[in-house]
Amino acid sequence: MSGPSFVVWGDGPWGRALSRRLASGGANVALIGLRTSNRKLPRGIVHSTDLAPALGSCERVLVALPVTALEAALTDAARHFEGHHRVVLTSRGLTSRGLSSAEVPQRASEVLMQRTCVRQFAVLAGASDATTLDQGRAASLVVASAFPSWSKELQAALAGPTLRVYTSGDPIGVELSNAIAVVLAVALGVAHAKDATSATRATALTRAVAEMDRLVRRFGGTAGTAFGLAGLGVLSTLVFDASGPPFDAGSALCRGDLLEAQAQTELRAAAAALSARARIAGVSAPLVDTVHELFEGRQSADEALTMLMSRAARSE
Amino acid sequence: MAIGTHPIFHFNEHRDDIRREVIARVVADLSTFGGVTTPRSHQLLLNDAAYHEIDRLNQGGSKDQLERWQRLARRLLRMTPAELAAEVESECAHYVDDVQGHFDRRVYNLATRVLPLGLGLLFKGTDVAQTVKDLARLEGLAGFRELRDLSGRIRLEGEIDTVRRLAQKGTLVVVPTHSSNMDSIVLGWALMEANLPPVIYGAGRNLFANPVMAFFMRNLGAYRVDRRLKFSLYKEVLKTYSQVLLERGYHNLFFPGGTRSRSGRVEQRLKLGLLGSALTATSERLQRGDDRPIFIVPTTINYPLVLEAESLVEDHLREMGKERYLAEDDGFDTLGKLGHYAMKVMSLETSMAIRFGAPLDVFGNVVGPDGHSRGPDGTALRRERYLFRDGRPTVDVKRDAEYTRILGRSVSEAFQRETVLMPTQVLAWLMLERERRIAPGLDLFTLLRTASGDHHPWGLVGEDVDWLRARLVTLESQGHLRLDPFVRTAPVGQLVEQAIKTFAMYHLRPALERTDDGVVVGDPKLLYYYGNRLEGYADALRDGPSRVRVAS
Repeated sequence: MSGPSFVVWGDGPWGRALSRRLASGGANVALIGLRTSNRKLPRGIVHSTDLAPALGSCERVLVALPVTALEAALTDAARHFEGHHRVVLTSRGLTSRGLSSAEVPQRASEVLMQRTCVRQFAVLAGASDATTLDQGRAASLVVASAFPSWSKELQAALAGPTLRVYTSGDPIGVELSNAIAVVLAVALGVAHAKDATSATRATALTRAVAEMDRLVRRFGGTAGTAFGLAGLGVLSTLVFDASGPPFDAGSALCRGDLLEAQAQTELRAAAAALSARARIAGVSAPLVDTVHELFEGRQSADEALTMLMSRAARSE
Repeated sequence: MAIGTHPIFHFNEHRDDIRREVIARVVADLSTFGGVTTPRSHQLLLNDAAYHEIDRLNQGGSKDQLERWQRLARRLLRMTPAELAAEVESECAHYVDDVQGHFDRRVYNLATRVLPLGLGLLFKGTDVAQTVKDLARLEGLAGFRELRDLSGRIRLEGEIDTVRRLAQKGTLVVVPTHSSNMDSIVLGWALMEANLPPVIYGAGRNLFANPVMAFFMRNLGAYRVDRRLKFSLYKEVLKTYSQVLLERGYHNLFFPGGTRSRSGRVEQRLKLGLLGSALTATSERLQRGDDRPIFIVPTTINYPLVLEAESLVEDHLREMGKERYLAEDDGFDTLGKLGHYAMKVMSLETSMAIRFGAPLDVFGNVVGPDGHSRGPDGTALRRERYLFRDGRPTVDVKRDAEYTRILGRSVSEAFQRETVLMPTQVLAWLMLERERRIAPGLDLFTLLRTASGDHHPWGLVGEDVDWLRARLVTLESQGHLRLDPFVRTAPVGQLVEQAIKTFAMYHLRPALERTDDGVVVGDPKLLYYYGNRLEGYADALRDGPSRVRVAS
């Protein structure tokens, strides 16, 4: 089959960074965006706005669209996909259908499976972002798939001198960890903004990781995946940077600036969805519940901290 | 294509050829075993068989057989490669002969006349063997035409026309839910009634114990599965036999749940081995240039009362609870139960329902009546593309295993969507839920031991049923499940009365009893068993404000 060896769908910073990474590894990349671009691209990358012909001549597809745009984009493009397409999803978070919707927000792979005929998919996540990749600084990612040949293929295509790529057989766990980490990072943002001590922040971090592991296992992931790059790795990145949307939302909630926090609609919806799912499943998720309550204005940061610290004693 | 032209009607002509192919393929596949090749693989294989058979026969079985396996075990290390190969082939041939059935057109013609009559008489409490004897004398009498007409007692629903059309275009694999030993008989009748071709299916050895049943099953293509045999050689024979039949285009049936659902739940953990053989057969066919598709037909069998409910739930609770569960011996006689069941079921207001779901391809996509697989957006798909890599069909065992897991999930989802909920199941779920709300701290086993005799006021039960029914109707409108028409439309009081009456008609210790002012719990284990049919939707039913009130 002639044509590109990879289609990268989404020409934002993350899509471009991954395209460059693939091209530097020798792949021919068709980078697909919404609008034509005059920006200079490295050799091996061709920019286009037409997805259909690219999919017609290439089996490997890397989706670098924001999770909020994913459902509409996949629905629109569903007719161009076929059974031989192998897709890797890089979107973080859960799909947002609005707080008034009765439907539960979904993982990106759930949307892919429901909207298209694609079966072979992988999930890419980890402690890295576009800037880190572009600057060639040391970083790691995990590619998870139930199709081992596809995850190995991706590992070989993406890995390089400054990027280690690990494989995993737990795509659900990786996807969930990645989604839960950003909600829990809001709680860590609150703790940070309260000018708490290192001990307080460490307590929040370790309890967040334990909660993430509990939720991942309950919702179909494998024990331990939350401690890997997609869970603890993502959470650590946010903590070490002490910035980004989750931390900013946490700071706003700590200040009592509800409107500013609620502007992060995806985070608010994800917290509501995870809290509801945890309650229905009967799994304890005090930090996720707290973030949800804070977003809905039903608790202040001080009340939340008091509530969390006064819970019944239990074993670790 | 007329029914009589389907491949199964020529089965006996190809029987020896099938036998040879199965033996040859098993022997070839087993040339590697346990990570080694022949002759060591043959040694390991025979040792595995001898170990399991000696263990089984030591616990009770044929002394001759035990001694035969013991002799083989002693000889294994001294056998030459040629002797080992001959022994493996001989064992394969033995088990293929044990497994393989026949298909006799005359028996099929007889069965099409006997089965409706037999089921009719069975449901009126008459002995099955007597039914067969009486057939010749009674055939043609007007009263028996009525008896043969089971349509008022067993409803056939769903995608029957699509399935009928696909039977002409490819090979059907019917995969039903499994609640009762009556399933295969009832489903056999359903296929005839729906003008669908007969299917080959694997039946447990115990079902061959009855000579009448054995005669029909043996001559209608059923193959014998001996679940006592746990060794690899036998499993390979079974797997290869079913796969060869699929590759040759014989319509097939198997219960993907493996055994009857002990808990009463709709099966969600499916055995993937036989589903996987459908994909392997597709792949093998494609490599031979044969593009006839294989279609998976999820089917639900829905009873208002289940013949073996008490013993099944006892098994389930014993397995789940271990020492926490204190089994009670109710001294129930199986034959008595069958007679009691047969007499009562046909007089119920609620009929049983067999529902054929939308057929799927081996990758879990829905297939339309034209035989084309469709993506979620309705686009026609080229199925063979799933097996392509870099523009060519490839063999990838791990990829195909994951495809099969995806197919298994699609079948499980179809089971949930196509399950028809009966009044007994709806009321059982609600009443156990009320019990749980009364005593939220109790574990299941304590609850089941202590709930008997609890009284629930009539008015509150009615209000809760009204609420639950509204919720179920919403779920049905969203395509999550199906409701028996009586559940959907009957006045609440009648619905409750009907369910209680149904329980009382068959089970010696009724699940529920009616009093002047309420409902009293009789057998909580039956509530648990029948209510479990709704457990797959429990998240949707339990979400939101608590609406189930505590009895006062």
